[in-house]
Amino acid sequence: MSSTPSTTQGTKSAGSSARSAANGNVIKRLQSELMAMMTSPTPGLSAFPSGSDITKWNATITGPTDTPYAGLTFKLTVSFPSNYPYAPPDVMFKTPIYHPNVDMAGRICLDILKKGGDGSEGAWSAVLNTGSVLLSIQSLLGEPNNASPLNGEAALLWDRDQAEYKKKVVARHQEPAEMDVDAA
Amino acid sequence: MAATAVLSGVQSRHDDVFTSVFPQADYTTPTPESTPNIGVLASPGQPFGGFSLPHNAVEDAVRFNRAWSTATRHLSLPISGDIWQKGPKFRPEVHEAFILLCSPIESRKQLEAWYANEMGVHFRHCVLPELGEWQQPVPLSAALSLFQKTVILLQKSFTQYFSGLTALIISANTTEVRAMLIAFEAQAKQNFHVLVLNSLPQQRLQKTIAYVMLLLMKTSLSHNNNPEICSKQAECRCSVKSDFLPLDQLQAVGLGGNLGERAFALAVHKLLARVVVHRQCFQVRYDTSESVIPKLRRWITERVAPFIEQSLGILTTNLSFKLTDNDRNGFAQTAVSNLGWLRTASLFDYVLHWPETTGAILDIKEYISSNAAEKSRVCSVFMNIMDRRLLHAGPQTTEILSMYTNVIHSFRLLDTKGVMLEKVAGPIRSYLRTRDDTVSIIAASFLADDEKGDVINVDPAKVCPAITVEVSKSSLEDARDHKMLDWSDMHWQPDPIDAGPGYKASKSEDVVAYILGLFDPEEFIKEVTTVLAQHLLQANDPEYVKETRLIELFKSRLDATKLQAAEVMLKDVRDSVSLNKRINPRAKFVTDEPPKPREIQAAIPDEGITTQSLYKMFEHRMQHAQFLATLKLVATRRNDLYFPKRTRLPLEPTQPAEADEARGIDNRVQVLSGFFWPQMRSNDFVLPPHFAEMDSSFGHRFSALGNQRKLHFRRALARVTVELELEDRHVREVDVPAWRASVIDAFATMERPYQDANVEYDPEQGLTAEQLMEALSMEEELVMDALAFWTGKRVLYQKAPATFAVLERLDMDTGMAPQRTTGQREVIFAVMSQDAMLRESAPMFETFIKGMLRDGGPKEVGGFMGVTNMLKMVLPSFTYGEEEVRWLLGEMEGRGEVVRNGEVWAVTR
Repeated sequence: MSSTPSTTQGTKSAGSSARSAANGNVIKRLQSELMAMMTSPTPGLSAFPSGSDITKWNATITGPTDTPYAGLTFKLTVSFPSNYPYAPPDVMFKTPIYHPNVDMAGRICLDILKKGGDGSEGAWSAVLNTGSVLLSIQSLLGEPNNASPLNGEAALLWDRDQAEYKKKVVARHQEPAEMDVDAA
Repeated sequence: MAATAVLSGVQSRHDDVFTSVFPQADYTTPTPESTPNIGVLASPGQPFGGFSLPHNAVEDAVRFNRAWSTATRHLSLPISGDIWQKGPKFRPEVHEAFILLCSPIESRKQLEAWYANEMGVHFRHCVLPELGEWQQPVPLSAALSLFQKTVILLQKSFTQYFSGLTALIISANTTEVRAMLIAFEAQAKQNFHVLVLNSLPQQRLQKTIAYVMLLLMKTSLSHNNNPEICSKQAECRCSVKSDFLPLDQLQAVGLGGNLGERAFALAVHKLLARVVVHRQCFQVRYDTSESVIPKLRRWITERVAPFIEQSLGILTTNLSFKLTDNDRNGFAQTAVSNLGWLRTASLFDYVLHWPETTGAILDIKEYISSNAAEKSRVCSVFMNIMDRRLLHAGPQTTEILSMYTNVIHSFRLLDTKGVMLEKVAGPIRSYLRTRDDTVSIIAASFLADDEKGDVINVDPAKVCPAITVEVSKSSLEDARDHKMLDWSDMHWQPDPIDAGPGYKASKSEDVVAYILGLFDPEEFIKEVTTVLAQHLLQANDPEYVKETRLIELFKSRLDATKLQAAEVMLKDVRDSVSLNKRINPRAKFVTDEPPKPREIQAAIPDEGITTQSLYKMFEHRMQHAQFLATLKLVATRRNDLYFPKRTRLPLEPTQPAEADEARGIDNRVQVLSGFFWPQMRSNDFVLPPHFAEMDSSFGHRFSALGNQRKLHFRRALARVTVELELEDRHVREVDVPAWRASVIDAFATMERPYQDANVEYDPEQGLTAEQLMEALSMEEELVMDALAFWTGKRVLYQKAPATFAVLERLDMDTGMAPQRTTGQREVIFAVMSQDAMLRESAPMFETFIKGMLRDGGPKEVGGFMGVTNMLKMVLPSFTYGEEEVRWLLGEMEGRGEVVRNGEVWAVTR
């Protein structure tokens, strides 16, 4: 006699087509990270997937008070590799920033953003997560690591002339709204 | 003219050429008659040769001419005026003339040709003008009269043309002459037939004759028709008689033969196609649910085939004409096919009214079993009708579901292999999947009340009775074994040849399997759990027989491991029953009266209990030894634990109900394992003080029993039996939700120990909904529901707009209160609705939306990258649509968290 009718068509899958680049474990991990960030948000930090690909996020950091960056908002992109969390995410500043450890293209020099392990200077570990990475970057704004600068001038200026430094920071900074206008 | 040329072959050929251009006219008057041959004088130069010259050409020619003249005069058909009535009296030389003319083949042919021409001329002048109607298309209404007129005319001219010959034949004195004349007549008749056929448009003629024949056959059928007798004898005795048809006349006037046969064939075809299948004898059998097709076949071969034989015999003048068996079966097959077509056209209705229409379904089954190629046609016809009549927004989901069950039943009857079912069920299934409420309706139908096969007290929009009936009939078979994987199955059969690619043979054959297969099992189980929870909370049967059976059914059909929640739920309510027996707060009112064996038995939990802990409950009521004796009576002992005996104890007289009332309020608590139950309504409000006391005392007793579980009372789920003493009447309401009881309690005027009562009901002032909401810390939804309920019951009335007071006497009713009944209001269910769940988790969704808009920039609600899709992607628990997202955004906009810019939403800075 006939079949028990097939059931596959009934399955609802929300956006399954969109998660092309990542495997199930990565998605699960990212979803739980997102859930954690949403349910217990850290002030001044937020992150959210940018589009249909859950491995590409946008993040927002506000500059810590009592630093030259106070009151400024910075946009970043976070891109997770397919073997996340065994490899660190790739984080870049989208907002132009004047900082000793960030170069003109927005690349960040931070130990936890480099793969750890034997013989490597990186400090990434699977126990870290997006929230902690963003928190580290936020604190990096107030405490630059001038020993290994990407922007040498900024490193020098940080030690010599905080007022001039602050001027440079503000001059270089663009609020996200201005960037949108530029882009348009 | 003609006569002169006959004798020499060359001249005769020459003559043919001539006559082909100038047709021979009337008969001729031979020359010798006008100028009699008086003989020639013997030439002086010739010797007298006597009178018997062997070849006297002139003499021959004269004789021939004279005979020709006589014969043609006899046969001639004058155009004007009446034809000379050629009676039996005619000149004797006519015979001789015919003998002379017909013996040589050439002259006979000439005479025949002449006569054909003669007939043609007469026919064209005298008959054809009257048949002018044939030149235009014949309207159906005029067909019969025209046909009759034509036949009469042709018969008349036939008599005219052949009466002379017939008279000759009759008076012929020798057989040779007669044979010769008959041969001549036959040839002449043939010529006449050709003439008739050629002068009328054949196609039109044939169609008209066919139509007339059909009419006459119908008349004949209706004369020999007696459906009552037929239905009594289970065999159709109606018949068609060939004497109703003017077949021999047709044959005589030349409308028989090939033309007649074709017309007859057309008529028979139409008879089988249109008339027979609509006959009363072959209507769908609603009484016995049998197929009529065997009856039809028998009728065709036994009644119609002889008629056809007879008629064809007359038409072809071959009276011993016999149909072969093949032909008979062919006729039967045509009729069966036509019946099948007819039934197929209304198959949808038959399926809709299944099972009363089993007879019709069997007809179609019979039809496709003799013609397998028709299967796909039946399917496609059915699917077309279904598209038009079922699979659109019009019908309710319950209707589609009951149609689906009917389709399953009837198509399984049609095709036991299920190939056809698979074909037609596909569209219904995919359509049902697009309806949101299908799963919940199925789940509700599985649990709907079913008593003795009748589904009662159900909302037709939410429950499909057909499914309920099916569930009650279904067996607990194990459907998980797949046939194809069982290598030692000795009954294995290959898939049918017409099976589609998705065909899977499976053991499960009942409707339940099809219904369950509609959806993803997990989704289905989720929905069933919700409905089951609702059901278990309201069930009154302490044994939960039906629910148990249902869960067992699901376990056998679906993945048993996924039904854990349902099992836990069932166990919870069962445990609650025995728990209530054990720590019934009533027990404290029972004095030192020794417990009855039944009470002890009820106190023993299913998982067993030690003697000590059991005795603790009864120690102040009876002696230990006495207790042990009673215990032995009602319990069995295994491993130091006592289990209740399965035997039933004799009934004891139940305590009168008044006793209960004297002791206070009867209270029953259900302890549920929160994790396994669906989200419940968790509204909290102030209960009447008695209730709160009872709850806390139950809690104490519960923990005293050694339970580690933490109790959390869900007040909104409680149901109360309320009795109200009003001035002129007594109102009793059973199973009222607790919030309604709380509201009506607030109106109570009796002395109440309300410590925290911050509302005083004053009959002069009444109470407003706002006051009640504040006093009972109850949500507006519930307060309004309760007020509407009691107003509907005519316990409360609206004293002033939005102010309610107790209607102590019915005659106080000012008629202001609308007579609303509770049914009109949306029933508030214990299990949370989708809407309530959305409201509950709104803060989380809003956080997500905020994060999305802040980090991802402004977005629209819809679209691939819109808010809705993004939420669905990152948050699997978000199962709502754009409507809900708009609602959430609206709420956030109200709080100033987001701004709207056209269709685009953004966070406020």
